[in-house]
Amino acid sequence: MGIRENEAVRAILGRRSIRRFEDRPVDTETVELLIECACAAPSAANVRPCHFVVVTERRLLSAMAEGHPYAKMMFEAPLAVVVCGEPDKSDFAARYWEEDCSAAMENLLLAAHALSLGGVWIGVRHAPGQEARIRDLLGIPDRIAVLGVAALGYGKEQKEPHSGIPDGALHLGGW
Amino acid sequence: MTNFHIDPTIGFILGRRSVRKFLPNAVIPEMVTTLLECAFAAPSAHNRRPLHFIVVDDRATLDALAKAHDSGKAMETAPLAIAVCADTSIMPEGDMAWIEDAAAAMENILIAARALGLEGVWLKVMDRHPREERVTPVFGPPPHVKIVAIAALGYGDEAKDPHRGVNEERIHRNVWG
Repeated sequence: MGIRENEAVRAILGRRSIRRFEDRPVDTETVELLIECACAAPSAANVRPCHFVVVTERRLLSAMAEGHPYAKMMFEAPLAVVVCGEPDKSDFAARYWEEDCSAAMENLLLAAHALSLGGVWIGVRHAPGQEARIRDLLGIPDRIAVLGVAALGYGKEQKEPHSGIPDGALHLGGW
Repeated sequence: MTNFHIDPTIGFILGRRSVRKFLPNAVIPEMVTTLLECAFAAPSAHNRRPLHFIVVDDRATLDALAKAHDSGKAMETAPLAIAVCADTSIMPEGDMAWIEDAAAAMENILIAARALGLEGVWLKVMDRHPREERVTPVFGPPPHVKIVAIAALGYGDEAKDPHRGVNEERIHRNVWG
């Protein structure tokens, strides 16, 4: 079997941003496993600064969709996981919560793909005004940073897997 | 917690642990290419794709990195290192979303490594001083390129149990609390 046929490699290459979803809930056991995978991501000095808000209430999903320029798919998605960080947990958390939470987000999206779900990473932290809006909507305290939202569900669109290495982006031995 | 753990991808996500001791066996080029392909398959905010990767497999440079990085002992035995870098010049002024892209790509590298029978560890570089100032010149990137972190990789010489479970205090349902 070739290396690229390795099942996990296929899952990593096959994960694409899916923005159309079937009207079908994700069962609780699957949601728990997605979160378990998110929690398995590494964190600086193992400080584990991530929090996860699991949103399944239609009213909240739609409210999240309404005020964000790139989140219309949440009108359709049956599930969203809001990935948050706690920068004041430690000096390491303050420096690296965003990297740690991004690794957790990627685990969530890979696990979703592996379990036949689709999803997309909605950026919040760097989208002007969005962090405060999501905090207000979900009652997230000010001391908690909001990285982004994974909109998840059974996908209603199919995309080709990723392949290849872009020209000029790979360097050997040094820059 | 559940019986889904038999899915191989889930198994690799949960099984990925930070491994810092490596056997001397080299990683074949085909595997390195696959790791890089997986790195480039990570999502990128607005699909801007600011990432570059530097592959290091010569002992002298690995030793220089191990010396320059204050937590870089893993590179003394690792036969391979991949530096995850971001070209900040292609980003809109003040947009730091490349940090997130870099971290997602790093996680893909580490999970793909695990899936191919390799192990690795994520060594942070950016935002630690003087670490960043010591490590960056070993790679010699132009000033607009940030060395975010390094993956030290190889065949593991230590075994660790997989991750299990969640900390319920950090999971919130619908609203915070």
